[in-house]
Amino acid sequence: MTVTAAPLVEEFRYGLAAPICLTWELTYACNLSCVHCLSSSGHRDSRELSTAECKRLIDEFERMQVFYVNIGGGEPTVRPDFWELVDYATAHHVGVKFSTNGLRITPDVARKLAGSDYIDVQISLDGATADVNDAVRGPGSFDMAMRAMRNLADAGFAGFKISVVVTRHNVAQLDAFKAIADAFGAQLRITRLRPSGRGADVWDELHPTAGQQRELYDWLVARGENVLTVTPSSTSLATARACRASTCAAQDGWSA
Amino acid sequence: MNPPRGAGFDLDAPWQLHPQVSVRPERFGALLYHFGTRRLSFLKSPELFSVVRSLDAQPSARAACAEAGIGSADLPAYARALATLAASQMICGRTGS
Repeated sequence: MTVTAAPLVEEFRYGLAAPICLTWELTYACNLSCVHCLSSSGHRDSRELSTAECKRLIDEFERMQVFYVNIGGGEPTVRPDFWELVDYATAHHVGVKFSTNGLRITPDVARKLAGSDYIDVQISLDGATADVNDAVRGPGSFDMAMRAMRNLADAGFAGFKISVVVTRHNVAQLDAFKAIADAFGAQLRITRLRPSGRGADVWDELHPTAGQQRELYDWLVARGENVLTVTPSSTSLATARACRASTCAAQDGWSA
Repeated sequence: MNPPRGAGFDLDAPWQLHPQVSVRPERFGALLYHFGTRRLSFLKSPELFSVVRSLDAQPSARAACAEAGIGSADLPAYARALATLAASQMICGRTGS
């Protein structure tokens, strides 16, 4: 059709005017100390940015017209200025997606989050049962995540994400994860274990076996229609399905 | 879901950019990001971007196309592109005009 001047792929050689989204590890402080944490989080880095510095960065994102930032850590909500920074970003037309273990997602916070069009939340969960989850993420972390998800669902926050790092011990729980996501009106997101940070230390015990990778692949083909993933094979499947004549669905915008 | 054909798009109705959509100009046209559906769209020509940008101020999509200098021979292609944008909620009908 004449609307298209040149194949878009040609134009992409020149890049975009700015990133679509950015990943921002706001703090390395964390209330948990997950055995597979790819950023080895737990303690605050003394060099982390001040509130004023964070706001200056957000100002820059606004000028660049970056659509949104993916905020992680660490547990970003342990920063006392976290909600202030979220409000600042959304007021300056920078959307916020943040990853949390659920620590500060109280009913009040959940209602506030549900009231904004510019905020998306991802809850980390690495087991569909407390025993499998807590073995990796620490005692009480399953209940904390489930409480946060209940609060989000009760507040009417539809479509928040549940992010699962697939391990040798939870790959058999994919149906159970999907059931939890469905029960909360959430969307399941599957990611890979990364041999980075403490993830390198536990790689040998936790990385899925070749047989389990195949199991995961088969499950995604059979049940993964509405599951977000950064697994290359299923990502390309999803892309092929989602692309249209003049629009294309955003790929999973969450950082790893 | 198949995008509707251009014939299904009402060129004479008033349209607007969806209020939850951000627009960023790019050398190929523009990028749209919808904060509600969390989808991206590419406007693959500066002309299409001009049309989309003028939707809000014009009484109809046809008028927006005219404003952007689109000739009648090219209208069906633009109607198809706008129909695709409407199907993905990047643009929506404007009421009260």
